[in-house]
Parts: sequence; C-alpha cells; structure tokens
Amino acid sequence: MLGGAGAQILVRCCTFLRLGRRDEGIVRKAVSVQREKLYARAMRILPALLIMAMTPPASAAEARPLTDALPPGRPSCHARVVDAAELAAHPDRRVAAITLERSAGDVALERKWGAREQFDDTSIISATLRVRLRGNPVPHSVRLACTQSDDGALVCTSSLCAGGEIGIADDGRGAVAVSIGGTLKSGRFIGHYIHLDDSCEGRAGGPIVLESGDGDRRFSLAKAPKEACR
Amino acid sequence: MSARARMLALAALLLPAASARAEPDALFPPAIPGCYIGTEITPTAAGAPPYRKPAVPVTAVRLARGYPQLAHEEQQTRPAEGDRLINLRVIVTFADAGKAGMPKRYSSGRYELLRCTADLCDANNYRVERQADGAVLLRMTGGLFVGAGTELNYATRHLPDGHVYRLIASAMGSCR
Repeated sequence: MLGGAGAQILVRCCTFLRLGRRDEGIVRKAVSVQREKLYARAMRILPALLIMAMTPPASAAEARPLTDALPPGRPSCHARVVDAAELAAHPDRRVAAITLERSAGDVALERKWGAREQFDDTSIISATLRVRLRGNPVPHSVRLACTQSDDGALVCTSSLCAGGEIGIADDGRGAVAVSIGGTLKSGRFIGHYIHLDDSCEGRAGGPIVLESGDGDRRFSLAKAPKEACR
Repeated sequence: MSARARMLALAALLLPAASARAEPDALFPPAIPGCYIGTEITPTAAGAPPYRKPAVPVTAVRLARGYPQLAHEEQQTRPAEGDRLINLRVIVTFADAGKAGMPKRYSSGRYELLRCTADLCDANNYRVERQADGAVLLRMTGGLFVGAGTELNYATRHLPDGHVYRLIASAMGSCR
C-alpha cells in the first residue's frame, strides 16, 4: 500500500527506533489503515472539490439582467423612431429618434469587466446611446457604462461627465425601456438627465443633455438590425 | 357671524402662517431635489495640505441631489436618533479638465450617506454646513476621494482634509 519513498522512510524509521520486523509490521499496518482512512475521506470530499473547481467564479455565474434583450457575448441594437405625425401630436417631445447599440467592441469590453472582481458598482454592460432631437438632423451620442440597479434593471452613466444617468429595463419581447428620472414613493415624478456629448459643462452654450421633459421620460426601443443603430 | 364662525375664520387665517412656520427649514429637506455650485475658499493660513498627484486645483464643485439620490434615500431606514440620512453626489471639476485623456469631472460614490440635522450634514470625512445667507460650506474633515471612468480606466483624485468650498443654491440645471 505504501509507495516506494514511503516504504523507504518507514524502514528507516523502524531502523532508527530499533524496532523488530514484527513491530515494523504493526507500524506498517497502522500507517496503512491511516492512509486508507485518509483516502476514504478524500474520496468523500472529492466530488465537492471537483464541483468547486469546475464552477466558474461567482461573478461570471451570477445572472446578468436583461440577458434576452442584451445577450452576453453578442452585439445588439435597439431603436425607436418617432414619426412626423407623432411628433406633431406631441409638441412636448424633444426626441425624434433614439437608439441603443452594443457593438463588438462593447461586447469585448463587457467580457473584460466580467473577468474582474464584481462589486455593486461594477459595470456589466457597455453601450452607445444615440439621440436625435427635434429640429436637429445631427444625432448626439454618449458612451454608457451600466451597472445593475436595485430592482434588477440597469443604471447607465457617462464615464466622462459624472452626474447624469438613465435607467434601462426589460420591456418584453426583446425590447428595452429607457427611462430618464423616476417616481418617488409619494408618486411625485423627479426628472433627471444624461449628457449627450463629452463637453460636460465646458460647452459655451451649455451642455447637450437628454432630459426628462414632459414627453421624454420613457422610451420603448424595439430590437432592430444593426444598421438601425448607425 | 356667530362666535363659532368667527373662531373658524380666525383659525383659517392663522393656519397658513402657522404651517409656514412649522415647515422644516432644513438643509436638504426630504424628497426635494437640490443643487449647489461653487468653488474653493480655503484660507491660505489654514495650513491645509495641497492637492497632490497631480497638484491640480479645483475649479468647481457641485452638490447634486436629484432623482438617483432621492430614490436611494427612500430605501434607507431612518436612524433611531431622529437624524435624517441623505445621499449626495459631490461632482468636482479640476483645472486640467478637458485636456487630452483627462476625465472632464470626478464624483463621489453612488451610495454614500450623510447624517443630517437642520443645519449640518456629516459624511464623517466631509461636512455640508448651512450658512445664514443660504449658502453652504463643503468642508473636508478627513478628505474625499472622487473618481471618474470605468473599471479599466478608473482615475481618482483627492480633496484633502481642511479644504473648504463655498457653494450657493442653484437651479437643478446648474448641476448638469
């Protein structure tokens, strides 16, 4: 039962202790029993050790929000275009078109983030929000880094202009809901904003922001082909 | 007019004034968004440590209490002692903002809480003190790290202990 090196050590010990062959046999048997006990114990915990070794880190295994709409490892595009008739019917709306894109680069970034230790504010989704405002043919965009919110949705911020944020939630059938601001327990709506360019407060005419006016609090963006996000 | 009617009329006249006096005239009142903006007023004789790594001064400080902060406050349990807990975002612009590769501005963490009395909110490492003229002083009492960027390019700056900033109440748009 003992391996070659173990047997050598045992013989040397017995010689050193001046034990006879009979005593050596008793010691050998005792050691053998101990080894078998250890072996049996190891076999009992082996399945647990194997499971622990094969389980990915907790961070990667944790369920990520919006996996249907924003599938891990795959780019995505969601878009909403407000047609002229709808804009005419709602003069309080500023947003004429809004898209949310996760490119191959975003997916690669998400993979890098996922490999890191996860905290409450660790980013999990990378995306670009593009918005075209009423009366302005030039779209504005902001790079978003999103963390999981307390309600299992996403909170997305601009890493360049701290302060603003939007919420992104599952809106069913692969769609996402983009919300700006929200409602307190009292039922009172509190508006908010997100910067739509990198200038922050450095722009002479004031920052370009998407803010929650009366008609721009929540947008449902349907899943779209990637061309719709360009 | 009967005596009862006169009493009711008098009560109706007095009630608004009484309720106005009872209105909590407090720093960062519950469920009301607020924005303060200002800059540094640290006295040179104060002996406060300088900005280091890099030695770049602050050009603007904003205290923002908008929807994210109010929503976070609603999730907190009110302390037994009766003080309020509030959430603030300290947004800091440094003199090198806008230079290539530099974040435009830095901010405190999302989940920090301050314990407030009527005139003072304390985060343990900094305080917000209400002044008689309606302004507030943001006073570092230990120092505050502010950060910018995401996990892979995260940068921090430090507002050292002893630095003081005077901020005035402003429209919410000023905190954008």
